[in-house]
Amino acid sequence: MEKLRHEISRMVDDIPVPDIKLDETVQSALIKARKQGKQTMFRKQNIIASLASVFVVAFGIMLLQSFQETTSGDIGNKSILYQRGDVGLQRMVTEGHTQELGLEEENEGLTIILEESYVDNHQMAVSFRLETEAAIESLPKLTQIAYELFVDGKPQGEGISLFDTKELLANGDWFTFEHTKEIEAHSELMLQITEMNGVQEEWSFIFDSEKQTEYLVLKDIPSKKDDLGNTFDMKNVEMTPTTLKFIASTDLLVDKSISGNKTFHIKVIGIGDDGEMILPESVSISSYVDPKVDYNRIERFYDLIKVSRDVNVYSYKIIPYIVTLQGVEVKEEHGEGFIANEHTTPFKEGEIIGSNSEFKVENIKHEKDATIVTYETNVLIPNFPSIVNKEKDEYTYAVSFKNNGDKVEVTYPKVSVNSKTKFLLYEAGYQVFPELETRIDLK
Amino acid sequence: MSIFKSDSKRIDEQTFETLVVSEQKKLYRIAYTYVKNEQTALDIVQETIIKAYKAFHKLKDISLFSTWITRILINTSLDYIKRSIDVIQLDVEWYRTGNNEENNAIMSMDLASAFENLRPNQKTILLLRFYYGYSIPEIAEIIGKPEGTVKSQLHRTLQVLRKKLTNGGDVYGEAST
Repeated sequence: MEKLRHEISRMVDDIPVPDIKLDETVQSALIKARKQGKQTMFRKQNIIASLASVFVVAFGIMLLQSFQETTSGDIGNKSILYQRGDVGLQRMVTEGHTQELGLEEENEGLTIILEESYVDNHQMAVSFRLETEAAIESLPKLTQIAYELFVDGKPQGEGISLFDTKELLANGDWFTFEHTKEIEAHSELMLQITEMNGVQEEWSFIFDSEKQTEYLVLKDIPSKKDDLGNTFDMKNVEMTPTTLKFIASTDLLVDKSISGNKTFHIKVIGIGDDGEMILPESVSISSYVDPKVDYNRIERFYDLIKVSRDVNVYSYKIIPYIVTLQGVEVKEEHGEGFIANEHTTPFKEGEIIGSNSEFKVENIKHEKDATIVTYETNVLIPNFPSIVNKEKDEYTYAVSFKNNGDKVEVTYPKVSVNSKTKFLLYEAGYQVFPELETRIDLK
Repeated sequence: MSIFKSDSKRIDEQTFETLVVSEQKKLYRIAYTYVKNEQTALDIVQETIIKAYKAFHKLKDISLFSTWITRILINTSLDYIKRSIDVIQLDVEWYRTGNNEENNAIMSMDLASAFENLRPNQKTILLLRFYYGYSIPEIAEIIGKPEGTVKSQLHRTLQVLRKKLTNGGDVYGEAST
């Protein structure tokens, strides 16, 4: 039997692997899987706990991907925190608010080098590299690291993380922590790695937190209410250099005259100094109740919103709304889903976009790092057309806009245009609540 | 409240990618043993990853990732074979020749050739038992069949394999747990 085991193993292991094609296939599958995950933004809430969260996160991820293509320069190439972090952390790296560590410890031929750290009241991140003279073939494919963190001598807990060994050796990786309010501006931090791939040793690193202490809090924000009885309450607004966070509670009287797939959303818009309205690249929304608009006429929604601050603004507009998508319900392997109707038009001036002619393309302008499209429109929610090239699997989303009378200038990351480039808009109707719109100024 | 991060979608995605990359060669090789075609094996790997990504949140114990994604790969391979007329023809053809003593007598195959001509389900059992080294109860769990069925299928597969290889001089033992 051992002979059979040996021969079957040899038979399988001897199959040549087309490494490059396989790498491409796996990466392409991961992209497709994430893209299909985009459809989950239309999923019913009995399957996914937070439709609003998925909707915005999906857009955030795609925005991040398209934006990174235009912004990652020398700093981005060198910094692990830039490569791994959200857009707020990337900005901290670019602006020089991260701390160089350069701490090194070696045990049993395994050298850990802590490279950079960043701490604010929302998150802490520490990047590191692993070096060893051992042949990569002799190492496990996944490196398991157990570690503990101490703040001013007090233990904060233990963690275990898995890293792809090849990737870790080539590019390094990071540890991340949250709930960092107890860390002082200059706390003594000790990160202790207690085990790596079964090697029980101590790789101990002590460093000053050098915390970014900007921490702005807004309490007692007046509740918004309209004549129909709709209400919007914001609580616990907290802002650090990387993150804006708040809780929102919303009661809405739902207009049921339009049929379709109805869901509740919250739009967060940063207000720039020169009237530029910034659409944050990464907004995640955790809904504690079902954001699917169901059968009740009055719906209540309760959400935790986190915005990664890629632009350093201190004023935001928060807009609750209900979107009704037209499309088809589909059965999926793990439940029910909804695929919204897409409306695409050629990427050129003069085109009318949307099944309800929501946008007319007045002008398209290509600048060094951006593509600016001027639309004639009267939409109340700034959900602008995206620019897509499905052949190349490229999706580009608006990053900011500026109102100019009945025109709006919308900025996208620089788009490379060919005959397959299109505008894309989902067939949707919006129920808006102008009197519930809330502005917050944190400075 | 712990300073250590709780699970998040982003971390799940990183973990998923890390785990997939660590398994990708094995996944490709197993797919290839079923379909004997590079591009088709790559397609099966791709389909497996997409299915696994969608269901990753359901995987409660990450240490079972390899077993779990192997199960998805095997099911995807078997689904592909069911859809593929060519492969079904090969399978049926072998079954005809496999029951023909005359054909058996003139065959002298090495293991790879014999394996290639096994039924997909028989390949699955051999791979799980002798390549992955899973026990009978583990195989039963992976393919969703009772242990007794797995044991008898393994026994029968080994008999078929032994018959195929007799002329080549290789004789393998009985199924064991």
